[in-house]
Amino acid sequence: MNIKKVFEEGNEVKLLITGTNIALINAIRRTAMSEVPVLAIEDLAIHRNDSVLFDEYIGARLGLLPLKTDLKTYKLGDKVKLVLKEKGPKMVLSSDIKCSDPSVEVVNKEVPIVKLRDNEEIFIEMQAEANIGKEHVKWQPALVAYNEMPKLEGKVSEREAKEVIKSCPKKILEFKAGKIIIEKPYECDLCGYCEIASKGKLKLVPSNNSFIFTIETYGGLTNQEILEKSVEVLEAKCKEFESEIKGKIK
Amino acid sequence: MIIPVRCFSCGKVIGDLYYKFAEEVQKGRDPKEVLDELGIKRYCCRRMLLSHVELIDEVIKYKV
Repeated sequence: MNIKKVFEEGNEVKLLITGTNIALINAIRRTAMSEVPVLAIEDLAIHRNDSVLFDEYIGARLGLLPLKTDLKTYKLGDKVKLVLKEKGPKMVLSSDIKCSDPSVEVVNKEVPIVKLRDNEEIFIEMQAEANIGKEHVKWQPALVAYNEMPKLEGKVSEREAKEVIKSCPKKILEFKAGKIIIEKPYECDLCGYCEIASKGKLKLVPSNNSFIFTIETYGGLTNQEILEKSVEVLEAKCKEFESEIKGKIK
Repeated sequence: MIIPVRCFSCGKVIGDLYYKFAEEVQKGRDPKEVLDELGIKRYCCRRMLLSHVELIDEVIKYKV
């Protein structure tokens, strides 16, 4: 297997993974999304809420905030306390949430929670818990997706190639050494305009052993941490299977 | 009422972008341009900001 980073922007990373199969890639995708623990607010005690939003409404909003998590200190089921105490008039932002552990903080600092009028007060004690995406989406650490690497098969003359390159709506084709190459395969959405423009001489085929793997973290963990942890979780599951199956079938 | 914290479909946090977006659009800029600038690529996230109606300032007046 060979992994190459082909694109990086903000929280998003695209990897080109060659020499593997769809089963493994999908197993990693699924564990990354639903089995990697991350912190999210779970329980809350609302001592005071004078605002126009209901307690449940505020609770749901707080739960969805991604929290920066250190996986070395927070294992599955670990808890940490947070407090939100504000007085109006003001727009209460996610950065107003104080945590007892300074390493834990809200990722997006300017998410509005609730608006308070003169003399309105809000006082909420919260408990964040490390849990997995299978339990609730708020514990999903990232968006993960893959698609098969597209390849153009067949031959065309230089004149035809010009037509084909012009037909691509994303402008990602190039003519190199008598062949048409997809210059940025991660941008190709398999629209098939190149096939039509070549009048059947070219064929757009998805590869069965190379993939473009996209991971976009919500910020609680880094992309690197998520992938490493998902492999760890997958390994532990396989080990468990191995120890359970030993000696069961003769 | 108030901008949702996350996109309903993909889960990207978009709550912190709404006021920047609204301010720029208020100045008369093209929403498409502003959304691109904020780095919102998917149309699920784009509709969250485009179709939002901020009502909390209306409701807040009537609290006892």
